[in-house]
Amino acid sequence: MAREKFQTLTEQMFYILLCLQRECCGVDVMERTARMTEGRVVIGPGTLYSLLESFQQEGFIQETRAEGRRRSYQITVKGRLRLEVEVRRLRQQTEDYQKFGEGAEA
Amino acid sequence: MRDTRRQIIWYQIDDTEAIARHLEKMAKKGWLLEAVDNLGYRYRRGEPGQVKYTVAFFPEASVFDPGLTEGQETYMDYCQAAGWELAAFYGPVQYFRSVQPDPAPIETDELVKLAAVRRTMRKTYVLSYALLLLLPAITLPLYWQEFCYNPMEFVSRNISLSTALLMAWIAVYGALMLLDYLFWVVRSRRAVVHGGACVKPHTRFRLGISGVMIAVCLAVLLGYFVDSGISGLRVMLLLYLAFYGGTIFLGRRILQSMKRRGIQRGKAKGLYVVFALVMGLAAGLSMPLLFGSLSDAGLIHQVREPVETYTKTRENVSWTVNIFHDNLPVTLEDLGWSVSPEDHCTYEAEISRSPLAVYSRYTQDALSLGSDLPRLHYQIFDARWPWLLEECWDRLIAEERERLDPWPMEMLNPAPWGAEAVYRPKDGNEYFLLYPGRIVTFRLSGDKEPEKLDAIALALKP
Repeated sequence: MAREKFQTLTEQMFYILLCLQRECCGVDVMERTARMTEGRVVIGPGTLYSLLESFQQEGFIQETRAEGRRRSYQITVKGRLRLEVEVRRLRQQTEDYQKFGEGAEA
Repeated sequence: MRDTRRQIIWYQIDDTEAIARHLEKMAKKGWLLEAVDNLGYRYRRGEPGQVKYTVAFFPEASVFDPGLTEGQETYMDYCQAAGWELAAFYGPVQYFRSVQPDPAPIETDELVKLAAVRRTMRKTYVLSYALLLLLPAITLPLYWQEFCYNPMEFVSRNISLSTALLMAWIAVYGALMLLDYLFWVVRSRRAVVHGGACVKPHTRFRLGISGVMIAVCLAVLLGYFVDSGISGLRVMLLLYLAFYGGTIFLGRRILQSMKRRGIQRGKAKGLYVVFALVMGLAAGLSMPLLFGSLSDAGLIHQVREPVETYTKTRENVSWTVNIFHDNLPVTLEDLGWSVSPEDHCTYEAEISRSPLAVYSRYTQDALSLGSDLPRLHYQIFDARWPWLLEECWDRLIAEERERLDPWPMEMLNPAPWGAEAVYRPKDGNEYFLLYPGRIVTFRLSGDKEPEKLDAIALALKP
């Protein structure tokens, strides 16, 4: 069965939206993600390009500036809401783990 | 010492890991990828060393773009920032290299990667194989019609048989390649949805059947060349091979020229389609013209020198006919007729052989207008396999029934001739005999004398 687009965010999707809470260009997104996660999450250039296009089409981000080929983007209200939904989902998962995971008081 | 070299790579474009491995091996030998086009890869000589290659897809790009699109340039900037340098590209397929030991992969999200591969493959791989399947889809029904019309002739002629088999193999090959890709999509999607990576394509399988495909094409071409035996057909074959080779080369030059002139994608695509149609029409129209010219020059039909010629005259009109003295298994003389030189009898045999069957047609005809000799015509068809013989027999009888309708075909007692079945048109002069491994048909004009018919059947029995 086809999965609804962006029903859950992959790590790459999550960090792109997170980086774009501050206006920045594509290359900055790759660098910031690597810095934020201390190299744990890497966004490949092909994946970055495709996701920026998809997010723009979905209205999660918008282009804010174009200086030659260097384009800057920023998250939109819709994108911020989507990110918050994802954070709540992740938090819920963490809480569930703490409640029911190994070593927790059942 | 050459500084550039060309190479054809048989990997399919989605076999990115195999292509990258191959390019890395070439780099180790000092050959760096410089360009890719419809004729293959071009390398330039460089320092042998460890270079990492990767193949990525940018589905928005097309071979008809005059250069890098704006989006593609942005994509290249991202790749460059990640440590990848663009080595070459051909439409949506991008070849990158890096001297860094461990650059970040171009695609790090398998879902995004799968979508890019599928969009690219639809425009390239799927489209090419779908177009390839059009060829057998158009020609196979025509061959089937030809087979149904005269199965004995069809299965005994190497050219029609090998072309039909080649078309059938092209259909199987195209379908297998498309199915293999379809299975790859299904398996990869299942893997990605469950958090895994896209699966590896069946490299060996694809290389194997592509190798068989090339071998079959070469064998058929060689077969044509050897079997045609007639200089004109060989000339035609060579001209057509040169024509198609030239078309591929010219297509490449046109694409390059359109890129240099900066012609935009839509217009370039339109011009290329026009070029393809013109070349297709040129091939289609030139064939009868070429055939006609070679035929006029006496290079197409096997010209056999007659033993003698005979000029017939009737009502002040004269015409000359050829007389041959081929060997016939049974002649009018064998059947008790007295044949004199004044009858000007011609003895003609035409035999076609293939690995499946031998089909021989024989005629003895008195060409003299005053001769009262009957005309003797018979055919022998020997098939290698019983099922083929049965198929040909059933179709032959069905075809004759249809041809004679409403005149009926009658079944005669086969026992006196030692046959399995005998038919003839009711009260007619033509006989159809089925023996184990052989079909015989014969026609003897004039009165039906049972002892003469018996003698023919006996002589032609296997």
